[in-house]
Amino acid sequence: MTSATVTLSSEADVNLTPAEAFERFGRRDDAGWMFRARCHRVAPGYAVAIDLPGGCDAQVLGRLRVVLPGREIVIEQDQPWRGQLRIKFERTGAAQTRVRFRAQVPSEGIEWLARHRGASLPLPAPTGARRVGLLTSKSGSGAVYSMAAEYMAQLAVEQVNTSGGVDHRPVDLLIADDSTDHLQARRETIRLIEAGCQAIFACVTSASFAAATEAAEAHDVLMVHPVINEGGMEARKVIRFGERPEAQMSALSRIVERETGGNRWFLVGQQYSWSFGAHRAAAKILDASGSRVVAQRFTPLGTREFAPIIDSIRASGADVVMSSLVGADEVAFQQQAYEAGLRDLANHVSLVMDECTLEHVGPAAGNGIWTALNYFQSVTSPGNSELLRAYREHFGPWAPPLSSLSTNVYEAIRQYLELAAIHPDAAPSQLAADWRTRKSDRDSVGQRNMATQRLYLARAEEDVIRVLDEVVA
Amino acid sequence: MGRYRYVRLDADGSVREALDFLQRIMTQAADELSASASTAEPRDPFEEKLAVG
Repeated sequence: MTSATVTLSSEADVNLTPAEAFERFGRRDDAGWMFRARCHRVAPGYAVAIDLPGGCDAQVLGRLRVVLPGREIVIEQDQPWRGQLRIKFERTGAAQTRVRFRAQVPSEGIEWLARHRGASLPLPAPTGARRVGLLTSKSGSGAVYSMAAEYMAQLAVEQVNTSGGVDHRPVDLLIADDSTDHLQARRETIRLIEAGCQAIFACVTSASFAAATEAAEAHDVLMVHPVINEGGMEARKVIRFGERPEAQMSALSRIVERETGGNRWFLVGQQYSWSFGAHRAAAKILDASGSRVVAQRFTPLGTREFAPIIDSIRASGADVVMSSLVGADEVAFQQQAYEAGLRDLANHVSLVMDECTLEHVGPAAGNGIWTALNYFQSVTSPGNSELLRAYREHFGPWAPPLSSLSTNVYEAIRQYLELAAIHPDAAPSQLAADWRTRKSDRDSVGQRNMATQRLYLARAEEDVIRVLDEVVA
Repeated sequence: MGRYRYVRLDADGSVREALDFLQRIMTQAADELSASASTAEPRDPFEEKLAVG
């Protein structure tokens, strides 16, 4: 499909002043799906989430770019496609306003929507380029933490192509959306393989990655899971990096117990391998440190209502709550815990509180949450300011923040392509073996040795994540 | 329908269907706002006059 942008529009004449019509945006009442936007302030720069109607099971995730009270709202959106929504308010009478809605949708967005609605679109024709795939979550719970991963994958490939590609061939990046669903992950992995991808980088849940690796097993393709996971599942053509819960919990339990005295932990997670592994690791570490798990709960991926769990936490007598929830589920849990007053009863630890998730949780609900990941935007490590500058130059000031997930995707693609440039015809299993034993003393963000476990201990302070310490596990 | 012209790969009409869906939800956004405004509490005409004033 050629790259093009479609503009769709509609308008409504309402018996309200422009100020009254404008004021309905973000109020969560019944002013329509677009006006039911969730944002912490209707002001430029604030993250916004809007549920798409029509049984889409997807959210528009983006950022308010222009807010002119009574005149105009512009949203730059990143999920499920990169586009723009514009709402204009025009006075047509004393108490009458014409509200114009306009959406700019690129061809990638139309393609995503067609596929999301069950269409089987043709595979992209071979171009002679070396192809790699990114399996990411553009819809469902994982869309929140995956926002910048696609951009960082594009940045990695563009930089390699600018330097001449791999073995004198350009590199093509194909994107696939698992919808945060393991069955869809399987289907999309097969599509990427059929399109000729030699390696697939997965910024998805462990459940999706397991389904993807199973689908890829009979094929000559390298499967890479560069983002936080519980470990295991590695094989000749399957490689996993990212943070591990043992290291996270070891660092977090020490500081939380020392700083707060809390030692009765309540664990909240999801019903799949990541949370099961994370809670096993947590129980072992807490037991060794003299603390204890007073209770734990697992919910299905996609849960948005946490009142029963919050009641259980309140009744448990816990003084620390550890969440292994991810994405939109974590956003809903942290917001509801805050609104229910749980912050006054217990300290909160989150294993996946990256910058993208925090900005949707919001500054009030996020304040004080402890976390530990291998990258935060605020780290002062060498290379970070250069990486942030390159990202902003490519994708602009309204693109979502970087996070450990998107940075790990970038580093993995760059390192794979470096190895592929040395051994362009090597089998996936050979590249995986080389990668595992790759010696590198480069410490710059963007070039770090992914096999080394490194963590930054951090705490959310309103809308920023402040790094407190660095831990080498 | 000019906006469909750029679509080259639409053998089964699925791209057109996706565009039609997008147009429907844009219209829905306008219709829902109109409906909610029409059920809003009537305003005090004196206040309105002052506001326009």
